[in-house]
Amino acid sequence: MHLSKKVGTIRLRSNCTFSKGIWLAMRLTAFFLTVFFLQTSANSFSQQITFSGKNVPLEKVFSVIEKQTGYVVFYNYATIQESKPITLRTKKMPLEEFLALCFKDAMLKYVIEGKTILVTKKEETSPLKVKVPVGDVHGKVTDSAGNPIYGVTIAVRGTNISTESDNTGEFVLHGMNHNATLLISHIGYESQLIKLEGRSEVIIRLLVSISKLDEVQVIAYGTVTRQLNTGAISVIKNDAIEQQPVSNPMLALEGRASGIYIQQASGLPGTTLNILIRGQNSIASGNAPFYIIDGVPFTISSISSPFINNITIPSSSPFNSINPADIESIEILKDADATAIYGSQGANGVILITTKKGKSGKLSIDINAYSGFGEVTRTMKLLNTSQHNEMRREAFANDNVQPTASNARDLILWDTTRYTNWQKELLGGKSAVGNAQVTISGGNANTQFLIAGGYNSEATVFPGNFGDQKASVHVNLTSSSTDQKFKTSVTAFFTNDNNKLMGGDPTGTAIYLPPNTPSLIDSLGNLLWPFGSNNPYKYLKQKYLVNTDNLVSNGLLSYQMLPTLQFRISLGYSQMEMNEIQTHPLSSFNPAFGYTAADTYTNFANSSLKTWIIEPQANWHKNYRKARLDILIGATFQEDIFQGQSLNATGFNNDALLEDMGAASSVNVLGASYTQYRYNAGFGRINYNLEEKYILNFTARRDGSSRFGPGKQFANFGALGAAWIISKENWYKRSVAFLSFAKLKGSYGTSGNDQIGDYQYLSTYTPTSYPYQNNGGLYPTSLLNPDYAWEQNKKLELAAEIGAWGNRILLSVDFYRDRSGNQLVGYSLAPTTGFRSVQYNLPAIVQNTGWEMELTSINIKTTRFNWTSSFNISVPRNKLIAYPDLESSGYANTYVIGQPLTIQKLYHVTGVDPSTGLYQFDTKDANGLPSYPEDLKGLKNLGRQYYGGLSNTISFQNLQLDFLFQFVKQTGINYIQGFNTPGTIGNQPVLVLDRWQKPGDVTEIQKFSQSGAAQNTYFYSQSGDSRITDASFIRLKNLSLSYSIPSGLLKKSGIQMIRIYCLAQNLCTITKFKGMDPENQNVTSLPPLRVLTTGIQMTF
Amino acid sequence: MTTNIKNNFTIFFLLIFVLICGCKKFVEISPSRTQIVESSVYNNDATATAVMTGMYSEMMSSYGFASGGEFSVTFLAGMSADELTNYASGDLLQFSDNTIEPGNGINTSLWSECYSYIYTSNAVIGNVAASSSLSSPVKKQLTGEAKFMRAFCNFYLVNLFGPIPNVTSTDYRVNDTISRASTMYIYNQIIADLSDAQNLLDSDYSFSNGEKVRPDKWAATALLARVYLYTDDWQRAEEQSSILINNTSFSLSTDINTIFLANSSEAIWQLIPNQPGYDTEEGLFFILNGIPSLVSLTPDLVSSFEQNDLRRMNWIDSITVSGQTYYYPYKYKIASGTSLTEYSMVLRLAEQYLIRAEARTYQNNFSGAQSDLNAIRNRAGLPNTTANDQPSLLLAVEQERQAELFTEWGHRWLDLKRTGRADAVLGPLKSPNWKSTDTLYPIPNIQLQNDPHFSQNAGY
Repeated sequence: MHLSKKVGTIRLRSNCTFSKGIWLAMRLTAFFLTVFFLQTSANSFSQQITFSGKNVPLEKVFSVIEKQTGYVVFYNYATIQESKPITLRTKKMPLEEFLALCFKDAMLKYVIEGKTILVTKKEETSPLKVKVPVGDVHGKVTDSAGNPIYGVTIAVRGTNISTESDNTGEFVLHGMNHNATLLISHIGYESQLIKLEGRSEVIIRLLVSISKLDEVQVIAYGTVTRQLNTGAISVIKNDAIEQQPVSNPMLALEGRASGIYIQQASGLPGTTLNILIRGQNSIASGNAPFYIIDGVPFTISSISSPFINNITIPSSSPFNSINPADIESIEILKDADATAIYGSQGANGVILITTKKGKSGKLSIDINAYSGFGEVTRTMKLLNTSQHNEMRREAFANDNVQPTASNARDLILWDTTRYTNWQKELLGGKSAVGNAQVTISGGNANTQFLIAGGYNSEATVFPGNFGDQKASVHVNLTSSSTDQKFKTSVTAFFTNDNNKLMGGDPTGTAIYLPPNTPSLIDSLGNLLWPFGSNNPYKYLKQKYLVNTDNLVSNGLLSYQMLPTLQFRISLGYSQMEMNEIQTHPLSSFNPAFGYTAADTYTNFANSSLKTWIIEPQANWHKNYRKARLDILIGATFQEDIFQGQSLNATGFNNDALLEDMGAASSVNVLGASYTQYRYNAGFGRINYNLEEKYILNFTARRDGSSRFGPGKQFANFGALGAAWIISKENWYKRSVAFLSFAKLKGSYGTSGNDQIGDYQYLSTYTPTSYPYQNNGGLYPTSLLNPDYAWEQNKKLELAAEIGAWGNRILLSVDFYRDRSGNQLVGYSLAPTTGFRSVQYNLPAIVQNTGWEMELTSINIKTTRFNWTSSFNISVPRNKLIAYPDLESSGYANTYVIGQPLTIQKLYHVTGVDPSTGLYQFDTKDANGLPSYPEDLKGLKNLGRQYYGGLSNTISFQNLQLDFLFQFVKQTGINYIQGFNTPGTIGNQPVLVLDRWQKPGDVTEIQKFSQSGAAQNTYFYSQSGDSRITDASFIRLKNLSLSYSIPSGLLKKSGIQMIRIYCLAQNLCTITKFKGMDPENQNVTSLPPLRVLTTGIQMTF
Repeated sequence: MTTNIKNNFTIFFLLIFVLICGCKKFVEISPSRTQIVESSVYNNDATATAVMTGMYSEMMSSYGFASGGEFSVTFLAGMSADELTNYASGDLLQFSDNTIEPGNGINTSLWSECYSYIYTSNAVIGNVAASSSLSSPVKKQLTGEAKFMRAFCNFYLVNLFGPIPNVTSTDYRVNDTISRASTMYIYNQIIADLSDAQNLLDSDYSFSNGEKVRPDKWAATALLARVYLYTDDWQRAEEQSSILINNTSFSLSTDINTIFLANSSEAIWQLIPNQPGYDTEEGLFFILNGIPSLVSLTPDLVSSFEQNDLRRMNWIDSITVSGQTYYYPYKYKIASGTSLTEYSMVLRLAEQYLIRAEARTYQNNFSGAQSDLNAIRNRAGLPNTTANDQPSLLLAVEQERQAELFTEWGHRWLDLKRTGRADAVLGPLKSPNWKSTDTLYPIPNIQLQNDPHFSQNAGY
């Protein structure tokens, strides 16, 4: 028996997996600790020890005991490390006496049960306060570290008597039968049954539950277990986030949770993500979820200046300034039960981000670093030079045009044998990726702290020195008074993100350049212009620098006024500052157009967003005979202030001074903006839990927002959720044995959307760009319109959760139907009003329905080999149910009633005419060319039909493999959108070789042509349904392989853990998509990168 | 529940109640620092005045109808008539081909921009009247300017698009579904606005620091004279133009190269180019330094000048590229620069002579008509006119208007339309595209989509 050694290794691996070992260890620990704290007077054992030694380490003494008695000594290596070696001489000493001598000076205690001796740290437990009168039972509940837990329910089995532990974890039960059995239960802990067996004092140590059903989920203003939750919530824990070499934490969610759609617009660092929870609800207003980091709302949109021409990345994602390593968990709240308490901000779902907190215990230092590289996932197969020549010659032949120096420089002026793979040249690089994190945490029962520092760098695949560097600091301090009544917690993280990008994404040009284009850059790095202004290297001469400082801080104060009443106040402040510089040096201009230093310019922009929030809250609860009632009430006060200025500086004498505004010959203000947003709410929640079987959850919020005019500022939102845990019914237990858990839940309620601009109800005037006669002018910018109000989303949810075979398999299936009405649209106005549109509530209804399934399964669980899988799938459906007067609205050519909002109305391409070789369209006019909008007859849906992910964790001893397959079934926009007419100068995908060549050919690609009618038909086909193809894909999204060095080897080094790992992101993609990457579906922007890294993690 | 708990609860609920009740105020925010609410715009003279100067600033910086640039009435109407040859494609080409689609974006902006100024004018008229804190001279001045601007925009709308709605309020619910009024009804509104403006506006340029860059009484008079001419009210046209011709503060510039300079003696109303580093858009877009990418003068216009016409020699220049000569308007001499010496001309005295010549011809005052024509001709170095009866004088006036006012605010297009000569002149030139209905531009689609009762012009 070498159980003692096993304990050590299990502890180390406990973060990553369950194993049979840990189950055993936990159960044993639970059992022993319980027994120990029951303070059973030890029965005498007849075992005797003979020992003689000087300065013998405890460890060795234990093995002597094991040898002589056949008992097993059960201990954690860390607990005995500080103990002094033993000098002792005994002969046939009774075991207990011997142990007492051994532990005389050590801070250790022991307990003997059966054939096992459990050694633990001695706790300085405070003596129980009151002498116990007969009939009363006094007790104390602590966690495994000995910290008291308050609010634990202690119920006496077979009676209606129950009580709760107070702030010091203590409780009293009066008039007890001392043979009673107590059921001790608390959220997030394993319940315990304790037989009193005549005792009047008990100490109970609760163990954190490792059952998925008891997993704590963060919800609005509180926590709940998965078992008792009435809402629809998906959770992603830090272990899944840390397995992914991504710098934007939102990217780590792709494929891991149901109901959330994430699309990466580009592979450039800092790029925007399109994130939707359960589909698009709003036609014209925002569809972004509401993000909350540690209780502080986080900006949903980029604060990037509208005056900076963001051709590089559409806008900088605010999430790029958050360090994924600081995150403990991300909760995605989806249904009304979970989101209605956020009222007007919850319509599009809520994403709660919880950062890591300090933990009590020995000071722990964790160092984690990885480095690697990224490269483009997929490139396009393009024509080589001889194919391009062939295409061009055929085009001229088809057109009966003679190639000349002016219309065919590629054939006449350029070397027709030269070949450059421009994709390889421009996008073929490897972007270096590096990441390092240091976390120090520790504390005691009253105070815990965490300090973490991180650094992340990510280059680009382009030539040149570009990339993103991010440094972050994260601090958490939690402290409580000795009586545990008063608690404070302060969390802050600060990130500086320095993103240095080029002036434009050269991807589009890399694809378009003819393969025999002469050199575009000379040996000195100067640009050459053989092809007009089509020189992608010009973007590399221009710079787009974004420097973002982001601070998010939160303070939480709570006071337990009564055992049942707690007051809390949450204070938050966040500040994001962004500086942008975009340069246009002379060296990036084609000199043929006569540019001079006067034409150089740089745009400068500063933006800042400051948010503060105060949320006072009170929690009250009461235990009834069979039920528990929890009530929460609170209020929110929030203010956002956004300020931005953009300047344009022109005329730099020297390209080197472009980032210095002082070197410009003139500076103009492009624009300035200032907006204030204030938000106020009162909210409440009533949760009624009957026998942990029937749960009702009622939430409500009254919201006021400054975005609405007088009289329209306040609105009410609310939801009712219910859950029925069928498996707790007595009849159930007898009937379906293998289904260990079954639950039905549902909710219905409303939430709102106020994602519209500020001040839109006012008739306002804005300063003109330029003065007149040196006097500033004003012009009207909005109509007086105080009548619009909130968008309202009515959400219905029905769900079932099932656990099978001891909850080794957990399945949840959700059906939802969200209907978003009172749509805030820009009501299109006739120009005779002087304005184009006015904000307006239209009784249009958008419906999102869908099925979601999440499955986790422990496939194999042995001490050496473990395999767990999880699978999720979402099947969303979107539909425009009603839109009054759609035909006469600005959306007449965009939407169709009864169809999803993701449709596109396109010309219907009927194929290539076998006689002319040109695309044909289904048209009303006889000329064969479609007219807008009458011929928009091709209706295509670009929404995702279904999507999801399959992840597996396989561990064998110290080796662990995790991988995630993401799958998406969708249609998308293919290459046709991004190319010119095949036959004109410029490269094409090899797909075009299947073109029409002679009358009678039946093909899908029209004939090669460099001018005339073919260009027209190609142009129309770009707005035709032929640009839509299947864009489904399966992607090995993430792979992580790690090896932990056996703890046995580390024992003497003082290092608790060393783990070596490899991480890979976007490793391979299986798709039939006719384009570059099926995710971003855009041949003019860089596809998402494949990233490969190796790293090491050490814990001291 | 113990009393203690009850008390705590009561306190807590009271607290929450107080907080929430206090909150109505909390979410009532003041407007952005970068915007001003209407009510505070019109409570002081300076900000109220800034709305009118803001309109002139917008007119000159929006690249639109009054800018003198490529999307201005000067360019578009010049192309639709026989003044300018177009080299651009797309929406601009439709103007020169007289095949404008109702979806044409430039046509839509032309329409929308005018209505945005009409909205602003209506807002000024309404708010100034309601304001008690503005000084009375400023009230008079702003109301006069706003009425003038409403008339000015309506004048171009009615000439370019035909019958238009009479928009006199700022209520979008009214204006969104307003129907077209008759041309005469609109002209009556224009005449009423201009007569009011004449009474309200000052007779000097002191309110604009002596510069002729904001409309005053004389601008209202000049436009009124033109409107009477357009409505065949010869007597009043003569009356109004005579007021200006007899006004000694205006005179025909003797040197025709000084007419378009800032505040020239002939100028009645000019607009200041206000984009830093640029002079007039006419200069910027007309003056050629290579093969034209936008427009050049039509050979017909160039050859229509009489021998020795100073205007042909000074107001037209050319460039020869690869053996091909391109002519361009050279009234404005500066393409771009730093010292602002030229302003964009809107109303000038020469037009008043031509208005009076035409009005006198119709009133059979041939000698008076001749003397007005000769004033213009002699300045251009030409001998007295030989026309001596109504038909010949009318043709002489038409010829003189073409030579004097070419590429200024679409005079030629408007003249051919109002005199019913468009078919005769443009038909042969613009065949096969030309149709009689092309004299009106189409009502933009966006107007029709938002108001199904709004009718389209014939031919579209």
